[in-house]
Amino acid sequence: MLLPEALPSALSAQVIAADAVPDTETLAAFLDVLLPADAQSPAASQLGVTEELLDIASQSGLYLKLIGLGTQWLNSTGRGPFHGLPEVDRNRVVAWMSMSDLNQIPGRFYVLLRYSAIELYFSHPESIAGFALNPAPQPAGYPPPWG
Amino acid sequence: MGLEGGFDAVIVGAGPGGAATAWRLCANGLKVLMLEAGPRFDPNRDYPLTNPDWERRGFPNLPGSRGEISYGDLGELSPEHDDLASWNILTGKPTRGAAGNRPRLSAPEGYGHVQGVGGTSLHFVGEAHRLNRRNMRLATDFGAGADWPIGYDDIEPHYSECEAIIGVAGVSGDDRRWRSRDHLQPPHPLSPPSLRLKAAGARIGMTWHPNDRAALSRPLNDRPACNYCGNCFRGCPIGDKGSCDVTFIRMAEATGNLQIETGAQVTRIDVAATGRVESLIYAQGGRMHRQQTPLLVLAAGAVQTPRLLLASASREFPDGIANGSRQVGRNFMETLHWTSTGLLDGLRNSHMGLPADAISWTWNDADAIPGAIGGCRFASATQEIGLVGPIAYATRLIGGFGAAFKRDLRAAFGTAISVGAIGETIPDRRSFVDLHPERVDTHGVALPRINSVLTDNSLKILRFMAEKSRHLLREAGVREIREEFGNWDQFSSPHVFGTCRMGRDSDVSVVAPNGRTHDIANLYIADASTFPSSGGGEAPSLTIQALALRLADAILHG
Repeated sequence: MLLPEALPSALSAQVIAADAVPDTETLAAFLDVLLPADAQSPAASQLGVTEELLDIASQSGLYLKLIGLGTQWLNSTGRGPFHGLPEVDRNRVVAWMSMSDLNQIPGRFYVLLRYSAIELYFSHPESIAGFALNPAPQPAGYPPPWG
Repeated sequence: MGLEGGFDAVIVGAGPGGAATAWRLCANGLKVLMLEAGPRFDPNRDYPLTNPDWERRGFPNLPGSRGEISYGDLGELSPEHDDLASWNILTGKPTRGAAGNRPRLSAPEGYGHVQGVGGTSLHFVGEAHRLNRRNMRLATDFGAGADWPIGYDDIEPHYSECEAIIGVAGVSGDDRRWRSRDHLQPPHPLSPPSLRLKAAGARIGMTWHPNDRAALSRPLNDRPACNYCGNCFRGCPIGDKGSCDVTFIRMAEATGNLQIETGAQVTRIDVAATGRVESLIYAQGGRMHRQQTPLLVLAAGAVQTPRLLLASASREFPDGIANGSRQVGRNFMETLHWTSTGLLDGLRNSHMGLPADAISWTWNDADAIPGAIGGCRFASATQEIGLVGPIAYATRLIGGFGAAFKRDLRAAFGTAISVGAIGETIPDRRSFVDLHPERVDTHGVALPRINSVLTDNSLKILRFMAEKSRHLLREAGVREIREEFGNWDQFSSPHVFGTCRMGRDSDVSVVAPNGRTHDIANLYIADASTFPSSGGGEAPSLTIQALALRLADAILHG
């Protein structure tokens, strides 16, 4: 899993010095913007990705702090916490983050959490509905024909 | 430990070279001790392919399954070659024209290897290539590198034997790789992306064939045929892949003459006043052990074998043992490689099928690439580079987030098509393996240090491979390349060669044509460190195993 140990030094210093605790509700809302429910598969939070991510991040002090700073920033973008904003506003914020400077908190938070969320989300068999995929490559394999 | 006596031979390393040597010796009644630094893998326990989170896992990294490697001079990157930089559509292309050269660094797993019973064959894709017989005299024919002191005809019988034992599936080649026997298993059906590459190649003068693969197309010796899960590199849990744990090692153990000690790292080889190997020392279970060694075969690979020879220096042998030529560690050849990937409208199920199932040898001859010495080959790479699940697509090929991202991902999955190329490396004085002057491992042995600089010749071949790959994908109908990577900007090498070169002249080579070191009569080397040339992209494992059988025959019969 991609972990933020290789942060640029200025950003790393900012994260190390921070005293920010993750806002779990905001984190879940952010993850659900990245990977929302649709007709075929559930949202990230519905598969427990929020808890899995926090569990992994807790093994890296740097990552947990980055998540704390990121959710803190998200909560500062509107009137009230991120998880309480209208869906259109949440999407707009995340779209801005996706285009922002990778060496600032919002941009780095977006890239790292997107990567982590995708890894965790697609490790659940419910996520692959609509894909020409078995839950795992073995034991069935993919014998031909492959037409 | 009680191991000291009673063995006719000791083999260091349980990869392809050690495995084939062990089998031949054991099958002829010799008692063999095999010392392997890594663990024994359990396919049912260790390979992840039955788990829902399989795609998060690569080949398992068990305790001891990776050696500690250091890197020295890997050369510099000049902005004029920035179009050879690695990138994908999410990371974007690096900024062109940044001022000045910058150092080339190693990828996180620079020297791609596995320590364990089966060695790097445990995570290899399983291409089973013979060398091109026209490319074995580069010095004589092209004034570059070194000649093999033996010819293709000398190796051919052993190639055939290995192919039959492994159960290689493929097609008989042309005169460059002629076969004395028609023994191959039927070739595997071409996967969806390979069919597209073959059709496109035919329009641009690039001929594609089914690749020769160490993967069964028919059951053999209690091993099932491949079920095309597309994940050879994650470890094969069903045993159709011909890694040497399920072939030569299994057969050798069945003789009752092979004892394998795992977690056993050899730290030193001692040479007696007679000039013969007397014993070696290895670390296992927190203790050091001395093992009598009437005959020693080193098969630890082109990084660890020279390391051990150099680290065994003494007052009598200040430059290391078997190093009268001072060539131990020299002539290091890395893997020259390039891969381009795009998405192809209308392609489906590109994650299904056998990885590297199709290959083009069109430019494999050493004089085939204009302006360069050394050939290359192209292979269908979609599954081999891991584009077999949604995580790979979503983190490398498809950007964005939200509902649109999920729609795009579902639509794109199964449409990735990749071309991978590997080319020849010519030895250079700046490319060698030595001992790190300060860093040591947990047993106090100096770390091997890889120094490897890309020459102008290598850059020409890299550029040729990149341009042909891009051309082929465009011809196939790819509108946008989405990912490219190669070894220009990062040292990343699963195949390494040359550091204990084979030759007839003991002044410029380490081992004789039969694999015996020139300097020490009871010391042999059975790995790719003996290769005088890397080949034009051929995967080396079949040649390593064939040479190992030849070496074992020399031990048995003189």
